Amino acid sequence: MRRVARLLLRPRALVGLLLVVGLGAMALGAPWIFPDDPMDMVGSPSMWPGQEEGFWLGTDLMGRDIAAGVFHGARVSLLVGLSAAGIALLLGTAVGAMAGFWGGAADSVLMRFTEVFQTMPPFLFTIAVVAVLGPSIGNVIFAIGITSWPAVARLARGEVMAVRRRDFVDAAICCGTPASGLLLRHVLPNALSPIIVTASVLMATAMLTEAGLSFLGLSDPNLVSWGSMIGGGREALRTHWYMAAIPGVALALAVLGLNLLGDVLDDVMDPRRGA
Amino acid sequence: MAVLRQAGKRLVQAVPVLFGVVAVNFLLMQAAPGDLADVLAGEQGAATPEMMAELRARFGLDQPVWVQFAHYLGNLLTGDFGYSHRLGLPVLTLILERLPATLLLMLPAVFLAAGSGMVLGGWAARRAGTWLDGLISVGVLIAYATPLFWAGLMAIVVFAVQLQWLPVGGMRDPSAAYTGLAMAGDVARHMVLPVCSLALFYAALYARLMRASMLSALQQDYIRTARAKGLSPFQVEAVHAGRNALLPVLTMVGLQAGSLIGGAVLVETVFSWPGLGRLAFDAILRRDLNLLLGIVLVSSMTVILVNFVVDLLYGLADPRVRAA
Repeated sequence: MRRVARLLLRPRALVGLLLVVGLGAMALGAPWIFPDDPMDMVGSPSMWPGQEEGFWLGTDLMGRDIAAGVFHGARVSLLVGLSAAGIALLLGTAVGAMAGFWGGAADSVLMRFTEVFQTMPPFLFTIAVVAVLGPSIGNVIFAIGITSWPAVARLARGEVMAVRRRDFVDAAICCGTPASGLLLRHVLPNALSPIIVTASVLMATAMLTEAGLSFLGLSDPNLVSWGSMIGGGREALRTHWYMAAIPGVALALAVLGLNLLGDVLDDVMDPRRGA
Repeated sequence: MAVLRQAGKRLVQAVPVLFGVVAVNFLLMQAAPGDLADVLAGEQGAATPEMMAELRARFGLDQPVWVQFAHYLGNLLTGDFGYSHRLGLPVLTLILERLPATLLLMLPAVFLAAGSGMVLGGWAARRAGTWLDGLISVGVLIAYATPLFWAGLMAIVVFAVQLQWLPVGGMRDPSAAYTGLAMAGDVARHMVLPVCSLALFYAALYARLMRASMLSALQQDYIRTARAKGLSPFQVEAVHAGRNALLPVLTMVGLQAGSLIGGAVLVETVFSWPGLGRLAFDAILRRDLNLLLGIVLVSSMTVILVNFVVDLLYGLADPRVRAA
């Protein structure tokens, strides 16, 4: 416990935790702090931050409150990040665990399959999936999830292969444990912690991808997202650069927080560190 | 000889992967709502059911799916990547026309990212624990979290709009008809911001990797031997440790080839750079799926090619890989 506390109290870890908690608070609090639809025009357009009372981050070209957009955008970002990372973790762990557990021909086939998905440029692939299925939030989540699992699969395969060779697995086999129980109850729980550590980095990547998609106009037209705000602000880049700058800062801080959190998780899970 | 045999083996391994990529691409095309006949009919305004049936028969759309797949595969093998009905040109022609511009953006970005990343990461590792290491690490963390298209926009605000040092976008100055060296200079000026925006994230990635890799290389026994021999610090760190620390970075360059293409789509859109990424963006806007999927396919083939080259380089850099 002391070790974990020491790891968590380092400045990097504190900054990471603070940023992630802030992101969560913004996403959860958005409907209370800004109860109105962030897509509504609420003030005169193109007001600089602080120019008028009540609009501390200014308004965009359509007179929408940027602060409200940033808060509601956090919801979309977090939702996409969590769900897409969840899909990638499930898919990747399933494919990787089966490949590592069975080995042999199954392993070769599954790894070739993984390689196919790894070969297609992830962002372009995501674009293609969203373009084909249509830009709804569900499709965006599905597209990001389905294109970001190969790295998880490779990691899971390696971990499962290593755990599979341990003595307690042989012991379980001798006790007559069926293969499914062997994989789910004995091997996977012991291989899971490095996989879980990747979750926060996966989330960060998913959020960046979502922002890229919505910047290109491939996002749910009924929802505010940081990427679409940056895309909208681009129209006024010469005169009102803050419109693109503000949501970008929010996104960068959120991604930074998740990356730092990933480092912390990595340290905490590795008993040799910080001892 | 061993290197060549290795290369041949890798090429054979790439065949099923390529087949899989083609299959996924075909699946996406099938999943799209409406088929080619709908698109053509939509373009002409109206069509009778008889005309639609005739169109479907002409393009083989009334055949079973596996026949269509075999047809698609046959077309690809003969270099026919489909036809962009929106632009009225074969997809391959469009792609080949734009490919040089994208390469002109990506190759310098890779070299800049790998070069600066290795120098910064190596430097941080040599001074591990000092303020310099801390400064580089913080810079790396920030660059690693910054969305590259946003970095590009902000670079435009600072360097093109406020300071007016560099052009806002495009590939050359439309108002001046430069030739020869002046033209090259003009293109180079237009390249600076997009190349740097694209390289930023990858430089951070390589710096992070190089620092870790260099730290472990510096602890090896042969480094102590080299120091004991009285070699200069530069010889020890850059030549002995550096060469071995390079390998993970090289692997990463190959692994990141696909991601770099994705980055190029965004950066080209931001800077109106007339490359493949911009073509992909236009294809999305026009809902030109044939073209979009053609670009996905060509990029996937590029990734396979890049990894093949990286494998060869790996063999050259590390004799142990050759033996294996």
